[in-house]
Amino acid sequence: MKTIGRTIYLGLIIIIAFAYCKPKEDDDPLLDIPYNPTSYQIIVPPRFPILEIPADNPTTVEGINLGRLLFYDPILSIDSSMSCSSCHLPEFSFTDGKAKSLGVDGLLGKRSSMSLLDIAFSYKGLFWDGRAKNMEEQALMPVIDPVELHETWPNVVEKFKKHNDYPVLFRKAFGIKSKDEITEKLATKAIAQFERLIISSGNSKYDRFLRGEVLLDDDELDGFDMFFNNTFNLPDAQCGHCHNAPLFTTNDYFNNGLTAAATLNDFVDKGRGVVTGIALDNGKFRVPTLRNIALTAPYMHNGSILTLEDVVDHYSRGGHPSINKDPLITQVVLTSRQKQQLIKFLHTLTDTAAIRNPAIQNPF
Amino acid sequence: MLKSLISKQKGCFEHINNKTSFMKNNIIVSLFFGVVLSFNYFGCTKDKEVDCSDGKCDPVLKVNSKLKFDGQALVIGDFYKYNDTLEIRFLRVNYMFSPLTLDDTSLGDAFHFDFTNKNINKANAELGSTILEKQINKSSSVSLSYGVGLPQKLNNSRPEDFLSTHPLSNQSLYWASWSSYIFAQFEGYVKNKNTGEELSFTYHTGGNESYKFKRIPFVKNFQPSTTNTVNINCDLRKVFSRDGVNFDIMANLQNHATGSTAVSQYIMENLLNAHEFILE
Repeated sequence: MKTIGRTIYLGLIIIIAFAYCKPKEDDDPLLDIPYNPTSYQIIVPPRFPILEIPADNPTTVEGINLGRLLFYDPILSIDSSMSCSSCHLPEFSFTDGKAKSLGVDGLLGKRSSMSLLDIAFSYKGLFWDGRAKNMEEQALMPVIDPVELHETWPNVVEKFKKHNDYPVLFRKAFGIKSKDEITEKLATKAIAQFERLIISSGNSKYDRFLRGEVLLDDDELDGFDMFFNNTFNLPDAQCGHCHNAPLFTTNDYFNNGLTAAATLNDFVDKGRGVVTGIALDNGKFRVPTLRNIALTAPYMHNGSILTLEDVVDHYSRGGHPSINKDPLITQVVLTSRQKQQLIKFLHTLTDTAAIRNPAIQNPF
Repeated sequence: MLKSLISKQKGCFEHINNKTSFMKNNIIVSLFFGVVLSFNYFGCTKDKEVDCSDGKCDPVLKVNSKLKFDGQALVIGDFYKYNDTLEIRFLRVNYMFSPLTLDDTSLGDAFHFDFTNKNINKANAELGSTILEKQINKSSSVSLSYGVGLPQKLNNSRPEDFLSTHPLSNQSLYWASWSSYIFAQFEGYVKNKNTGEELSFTYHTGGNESYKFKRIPFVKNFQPSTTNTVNINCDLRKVFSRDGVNFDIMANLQNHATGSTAVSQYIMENLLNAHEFILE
């Protein structure tokens, strides 16, 4: 009995001592760090859509700085071997140059890495199938995907808390009062702020041509006219319907005839249909931007087409049959010269200034 | 001794019983008066007046849009008889509807009727889509005006002029070569019943000259605090036929080449007249 009494007594003393010694929130050293976020204005090229920033995640210098570090830091993966940037490299216009991306466990992803260029304007959903509504929501998913970073958010948050720098950076970006206020939501907000900076410069040859600063050569011009069906004299290559300017994507979901399917249930990858539950959406995928398309091979959601020449051939043949193949994907008779002209025009969309922007490079 | 004690106790109990019954009576009488008073109060006070200030009792107008083919609700992807040899199925149907005006009261500058992801089954197609539900400061109307496509003033704008929640912000509905929004998109397949061959068709219309506007009689009284439903029905059969003659779809599988306005005009005129406005 005496022993039990002593144990209880000691236990109480320990509890009281612990409660007394636990630092009060006001004593957290983070509070010594000033929280004065600086608003940041993202420059949008002329004629681009209005850049809509969520009211609960305004862009700040400090938020972008944190987001940039998180984007490039392998801390987000289970074995600290991969980061967002492993599949989204600036030199490939924020794709990875592979047909399908490899995850941390060496597992092959289901689809090809999508370009992040101008992702800030994707208001109709993200990923190939649009399963994320916005950028903040999107950034949550690769971390926990077993074929991507295969980590858990509670683990990642713990790693942030123990990190030498991140608590301070979260404080500067979001005004947290203690490490315990670091959350996955704040982390993805920061990543989204950074990703909104991955934006066209407005200085591709095409953009400068539109402003009258340069001329397209004859081949590029013919390619431009066929792309947008500007003239009766050349065939309509039907590209502009889905790859409309200025983003060179409508961000809509189409079945582009990439795979044949006898019924709507026969698509190997049902894509958009899994998200909406609408059978007619099976086999549909979000249209990727063609800005910097020359840098993002291989092509299509499954990376099955290696070159731009093969892409043009695919579309000119009219794609493979399926019940919901988009009616716009139809045979287009183009000479080999006209195909080359189209490709030459596509090269005018290369925007190296965008991907060399110092503000979006790897800080490590 | 014991007897006297018992008798005293009995007397005491009787006294208590008497007191209890007196209290009971009091409660019953109080309740009775309470009920009478409350009847009196509620019976004699005037009915509370409904507060109709600031348009609170204005009638509500609910507008639904429905898509049909030959009078049946049209389901995207389903086949419908086009003529003796062709069946038709639509995969994309959408168009601009601008404006919608009751007498001189604007109900909205621009609507985008998009049935592609709505008419995915018969139940949805029959139900239609609510495009508008709002209070109107009117007790009656005599006319309704509407247009298909966009009037020049709106058509001179561009998607980047609007926030993403606005129907005119949609990049896929703007065609820079025309300097115009795409007013209507009708896309799908026609199948030859004899050969089984399927061919795709795509009709995109646009350009200021393709905008069509109409005012029709629309006599209606709107009672305060009521909801009034108007169904806007569009029958695609009427878009692809005129005076009983079907549009020659096989001869014109696509129309979106620059300058080919004849088909665009034909479709938009038909589209204007393919609408009926039914009051529920």
